[in-house]
Amino acid sequence: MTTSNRVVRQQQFPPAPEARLPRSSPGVDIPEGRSVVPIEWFRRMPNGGTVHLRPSR
Amino acid sequence: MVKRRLHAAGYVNTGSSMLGSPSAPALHARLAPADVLVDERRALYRLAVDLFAPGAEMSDNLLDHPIVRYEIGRALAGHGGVDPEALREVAATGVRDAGIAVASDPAAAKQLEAPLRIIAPPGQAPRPLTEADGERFETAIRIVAEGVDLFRRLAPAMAGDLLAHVSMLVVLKAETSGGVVSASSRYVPGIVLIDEPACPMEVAEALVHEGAHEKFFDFAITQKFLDAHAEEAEYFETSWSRARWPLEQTFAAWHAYTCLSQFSQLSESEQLGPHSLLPKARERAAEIGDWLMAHEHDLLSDARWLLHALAGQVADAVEGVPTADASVLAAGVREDGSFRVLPDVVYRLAKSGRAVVGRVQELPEIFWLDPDASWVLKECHRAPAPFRLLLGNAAEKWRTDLPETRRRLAAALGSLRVFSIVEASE
Repeated sequence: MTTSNRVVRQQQFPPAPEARLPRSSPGVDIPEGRSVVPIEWFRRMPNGGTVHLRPSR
Repeated sequence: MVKRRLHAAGYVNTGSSMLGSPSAPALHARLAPADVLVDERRALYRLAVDLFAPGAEMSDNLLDHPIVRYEIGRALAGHGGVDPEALREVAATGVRDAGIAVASDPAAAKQLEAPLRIIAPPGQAPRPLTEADGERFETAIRIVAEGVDLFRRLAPAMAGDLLAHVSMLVVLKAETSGGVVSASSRYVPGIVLIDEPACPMEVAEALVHEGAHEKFFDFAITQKFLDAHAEEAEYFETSWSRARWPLEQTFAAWHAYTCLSQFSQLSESEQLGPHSLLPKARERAAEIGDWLMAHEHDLLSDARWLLHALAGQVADAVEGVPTADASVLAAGVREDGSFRVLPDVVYRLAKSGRAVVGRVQELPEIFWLDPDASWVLKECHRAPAPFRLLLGNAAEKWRTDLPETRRRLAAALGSLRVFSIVEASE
């Protein structure tokens, strides 16, 4: 038996107070498959890591 | 030895949503071949350095270093800046070549403090095995080298595909690992940490497992995988441990189990380590995949495509991704106007022709552009460009007729305007 990958629920960084989504022009909907894609990955870092642990005895 | 079920060669049968899955490396390459993906990742980190330290040039080797990427990631998350000299110092970790770079520096515990802290189970303090540990380290290095060779021999395509995203391996001292079998972290992308190995197959499996995560990390920052909505999406609960995972973790786990399931087919004659996930990979990939299929509306287009493609459900590839509604995007794009790049915008071009764009501000914004928008950006960057000039140049560049050129140009300009990357100029 092994455990599944376990998320370490420690917060590495507190959320940046000024964090917000990339801006777009007011009133303009962003269609699917657009030519420009904001990368928001670095703005949300919810978990520390993925760790495969041995089962505890 | 753990017995495993035999599968038909070349396919993975992983449950109701995973019938006849084509090979992961081939499908990954349909989104972006590994070398293209790595180059795009480097372009992004190079852009980030431009944003925080204009004029500082960084080598590919430096930008591949996990701690350098960790420091840049912190800055992009709004926590500190980027000091190029400090980055060069943190990248001075001594490594040993074992087919992949293995941390060997006696000072590694200090140099790699961040990943060691991040992946540590509660109350544990994993320590790296280094050259200071003498013959014990040499033994580990031999097993790692054999494990890398084994991975490359059993699954050469997968090894090439996944190891391209692993920049460094750290072997943890067994008495300090605190139960860690293998680990990685998107905070410190490119680094894989494993427990002190007893056999090469343990190393090979860990490289499949964590290499799949590293591949996903690179997809997530260069392709259309997840957006901020992922944080609000429903959680997946595993049937085997009742752990609850957010969407990002769920997708990462599905991807890793899918790769492990495929690797399992290719390594059926090998003796597994005592904590191997290979016997469980097929079933778990199916369970997670079924859940993701039911929640695919929370994924972006490339992630949805990979989910379906690895399930053998997509005959055609990236071409199936819906295209933008040109009429929506083109709204406000006047054919008698000129367009220029806003002054706070910087960009880097990847060899793929895609541009990654950043906006200089306290918390930078980053965008990836498709090849059309990337070309338009370059044309408008030199000086304000009249639409009609762009139209003529685009027809020549794209070798398309006028209506199609007009549609594509208006769509690209419309997208760039929506995100305030270009603006109409008088």
